[in-house]
Amino acid sequence: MRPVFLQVGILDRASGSAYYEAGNTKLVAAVCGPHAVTQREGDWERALLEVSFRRAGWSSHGIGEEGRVSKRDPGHYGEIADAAQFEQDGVLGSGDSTTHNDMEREAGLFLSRALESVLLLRQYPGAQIDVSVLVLEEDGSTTSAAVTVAALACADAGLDMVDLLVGSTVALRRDESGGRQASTEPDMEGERQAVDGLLVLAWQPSLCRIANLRWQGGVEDAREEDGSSGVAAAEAFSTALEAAISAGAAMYQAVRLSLEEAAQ
Amino acid sequence: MFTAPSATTRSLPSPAPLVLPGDAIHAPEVNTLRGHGTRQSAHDRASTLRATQAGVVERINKLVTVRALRGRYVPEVGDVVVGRVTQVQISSRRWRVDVQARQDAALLLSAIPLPGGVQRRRTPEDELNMRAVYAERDLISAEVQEVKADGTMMLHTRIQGRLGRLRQRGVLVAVCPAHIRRSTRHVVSLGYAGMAAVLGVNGYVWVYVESEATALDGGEDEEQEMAAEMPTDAAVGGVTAPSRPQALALCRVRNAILALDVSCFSISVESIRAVCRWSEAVPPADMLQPAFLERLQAQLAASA
Repeated sequence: MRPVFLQVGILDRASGSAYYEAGNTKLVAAVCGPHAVTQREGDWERALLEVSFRRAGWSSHGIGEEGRVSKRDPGHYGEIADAAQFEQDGVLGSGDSTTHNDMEREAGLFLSRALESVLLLRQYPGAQIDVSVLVLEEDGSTTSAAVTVAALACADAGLDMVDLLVGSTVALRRDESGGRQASTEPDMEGERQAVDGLLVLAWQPSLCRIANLRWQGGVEDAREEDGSSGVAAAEAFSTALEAAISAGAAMYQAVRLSLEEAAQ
Repeated sequence: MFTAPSATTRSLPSPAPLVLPGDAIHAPEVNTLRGHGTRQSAHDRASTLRATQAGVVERINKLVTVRALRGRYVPEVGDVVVGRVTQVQISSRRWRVDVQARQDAALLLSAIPLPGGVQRRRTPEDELNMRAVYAERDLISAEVQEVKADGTMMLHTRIQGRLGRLRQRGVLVAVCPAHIRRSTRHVVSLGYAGMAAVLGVNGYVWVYVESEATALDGGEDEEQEMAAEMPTDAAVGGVTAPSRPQALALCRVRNAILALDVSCFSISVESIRAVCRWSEAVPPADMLQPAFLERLQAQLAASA
């Protein structure tokens, strides 16, 4: 597992904020609120939670390209075809618009679900809470990093939470002897090599509950012809889940340290 | 020196244990009142009490609460607050006031004393003249009249002289609301260089020049919370700029308040005056430097 750096309270104007860095994956989260709601819709009994997950156009290498983004590589901006698209997408660009936006939307939904499981939104009726995550640079395990950093920013903002959240990613692949190997917090290359499965977990560390989970099973297991494919797939999943939970526990220690340091 | 802060306010970033959301809090099953910042699972009566905020556990008799380290102002009826007008809503006959809380507070047209002082119905002319009373970006002191179920605060400024627009020569300081205790007097004379302050419970403090006296008061001034000269604009015609000694004293008081806030110390007349006196060797600009803050915290710890 890569060493991780967390810092809380980096933005003065936001109610709460946090920064996450592990390897070349760098994210910033900011929480604004609770503040008066701008649009009246939905349930007045609880706060409206607006989650935004965005990747900066320079954050990744582009879809489908090989190789890792190194610190010295200036990287590519998202493709800006012409002035009309620039007007629509802004300087962040869009890259391959469908894939790029799909990933953001999916990650945003994942994050939103996870946060809703810990935030006590009924404490803030009629208000709105904005949580924004910006991916500055991406090198694998981005969604789980977003979970960790967003929950940290919410804690920094003093929102009522049932528990903190930690995110972890586990990539499963076969090594030379055919055994299954789990690597936690893989980088981009590690994610690509995860032929046996990729698990993204949002975990509540004190209450030991799963807040959200996404599992992409391995291709190999699906091909077995006798009835053992189900067993193999279940084994793969439980291996990955165990590794993810212990990685989450380790991440929780880092989260606690960063909040305690901020309190001094 | 000055009275030590009560048990409900931390005097320093203390070694008191910090809890994070989800941490278990030790409390007996029965005989415990679960207060703000704590939660027991609604489904499982036997479950442990857990914190919902990052903060310090406080126990007062049977009440267990978690006081958040950073939190917005939570209003209660009767609080005196200082706020800045953000909007004049003539159609809804109210002003929106920023008080560092979760939502802007509302000051209704019917909640202010009308010029002329007569109790009468509000006429359409009054509505159109709302901006003449309070305009955007004005600072006012008001009292919380009502707190609605959804957290909206209704203010009023019906006490002549004590509440209303703040127009004296002064400066606004924003601090954490937890550091200002509720007390009977919020408009206080600091007894230092002719300064006075309105200590808004919401964390906004208006420091202003009360009188022409710029000499330091002697130590014999034992009256701790004298009623100050009225901060609102009754008698002041135009507002003149403060003289240089007054401006320096204003800066010193402002920085003293900020230093107390950063050190998580209770902000009161006594503590402000003490910090001002301790800091006299240092120019006001240096009062927020780490070197001075460390010495200050040591002195606060020693005298607490």
